[in-house]
Amino acid sequence: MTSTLGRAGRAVGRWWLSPVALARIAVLRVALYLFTIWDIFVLTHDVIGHGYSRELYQPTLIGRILPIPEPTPTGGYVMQWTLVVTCLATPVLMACAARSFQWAGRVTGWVAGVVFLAWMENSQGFAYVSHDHMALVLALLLLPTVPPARFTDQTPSEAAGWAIRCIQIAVVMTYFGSALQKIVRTGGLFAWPNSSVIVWSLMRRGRSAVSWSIDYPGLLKVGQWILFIAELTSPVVLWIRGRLLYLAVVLVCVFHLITYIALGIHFLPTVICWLAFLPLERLVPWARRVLRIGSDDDARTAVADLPSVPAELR
Amino acid sequence: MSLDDPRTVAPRRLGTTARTWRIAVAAAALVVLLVAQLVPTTFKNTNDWFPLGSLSQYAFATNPDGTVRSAFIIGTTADGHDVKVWLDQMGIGVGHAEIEGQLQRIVDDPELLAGVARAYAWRYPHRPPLATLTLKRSTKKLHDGRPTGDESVEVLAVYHVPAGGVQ
Repeated sequence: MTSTLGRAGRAVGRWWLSPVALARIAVLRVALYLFTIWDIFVLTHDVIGHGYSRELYQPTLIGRILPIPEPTPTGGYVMQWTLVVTCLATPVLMACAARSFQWAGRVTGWVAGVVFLAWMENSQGFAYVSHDHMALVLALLLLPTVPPARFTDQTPSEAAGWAIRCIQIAVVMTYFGSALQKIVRTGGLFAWPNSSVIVWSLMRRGRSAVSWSIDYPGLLKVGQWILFIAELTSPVVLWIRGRLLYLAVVLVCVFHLITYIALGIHFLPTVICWLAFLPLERLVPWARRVLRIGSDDDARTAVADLPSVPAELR
Repeated sequence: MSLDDPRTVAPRRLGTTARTWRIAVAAAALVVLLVAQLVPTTFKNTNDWFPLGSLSQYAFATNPDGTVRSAFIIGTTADGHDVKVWLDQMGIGVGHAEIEGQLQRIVDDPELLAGVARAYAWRYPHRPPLATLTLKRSTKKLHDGRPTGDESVEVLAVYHVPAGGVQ
């Protein structure tokens, strides 16, 4: 019994820590930190306005137990510009070869992670929590746990593997968890997809609403069924590999594009985190080959078939 | 062959401590997140556990033959012009759903709308200041999942901005 449990525990550990090339983290850092800068000026810019509406602030749990400041106009701008500086610096410093730069990168990385958590709490602590930011908030707290890495560093690393796996699970849970909520809250498997929740949401939307689809309630119901089934089956992407996985990622992006066109909902903070499923470590060697930067020989070996690499690393 | 070639590089493993805390933290977070989805709302509103709280957006069923209610705020200037207050992150900051999430609180204490008036004055410094804010709610009817066009509007709360603006 104990040995069975032990074996299962070790298997879970191996799965959760499957090594991933460090370069994947280096590229993911650039994507997620740059996205965060755009995010705090567009999607979650409400933090600045919230500073003027302190009467309506009702902090969530972390806002009450952690020393997260109440929203104020000055505090908002301080957090915003701290994030701009740290999000620009971290991906660069963490890709440098010099030790002192790397240590500076660890510091700016942790500052970015913690300040973004505080920023998001100030955004969400007004009696409504949206869930498209879960994976991004967690990713910014996970990335500093991985050692500094260059964009071409193909060394497989368990620290990188753990962070990537956690981001992947957060992405999947954003969909799967919301399907669970639909079942728990409506008290049945089929109540949600058969309801008129999308019409409801379209009719309530104000400015910038996309509303052509409201004339097609049947189409919207089909959409609800597809969404619900896709959400329930989403954990499968944690186990599929290679082309099938990339196809799944493309389908998810197409789905989000369609919901954006039909409903005006984009879910970009979650979409960007799907990058954690892709072999980003090949991006820079591939770009070098295409642009013919560096020696041809270098580039060819870096993107060549990698026969000796275990399948789970490819 | 470059040094970066995976064929020449052994995986970088973690020590026992590093492995243990990583698995423990991640497993604990996942358990919290799963529990947050499975706890009935009537028992505990786990939205409060952000960022590991409930993923409850749009997680309810609406009746195709029911009604759709939506709250909004109308501002009135000193010379009697009505303007709709734009409620979202690019407007005054406070969002539509955030007003609705604490509707009862505002109905009980309309003075809370001072926060909306203050944010409006910051966001639109060149527009005429608001003298009154009115929180309203519209109710539209549905039939077979389509809007019928029937609509009624009720006033939920009124706030008069003090002379000289909100402090």
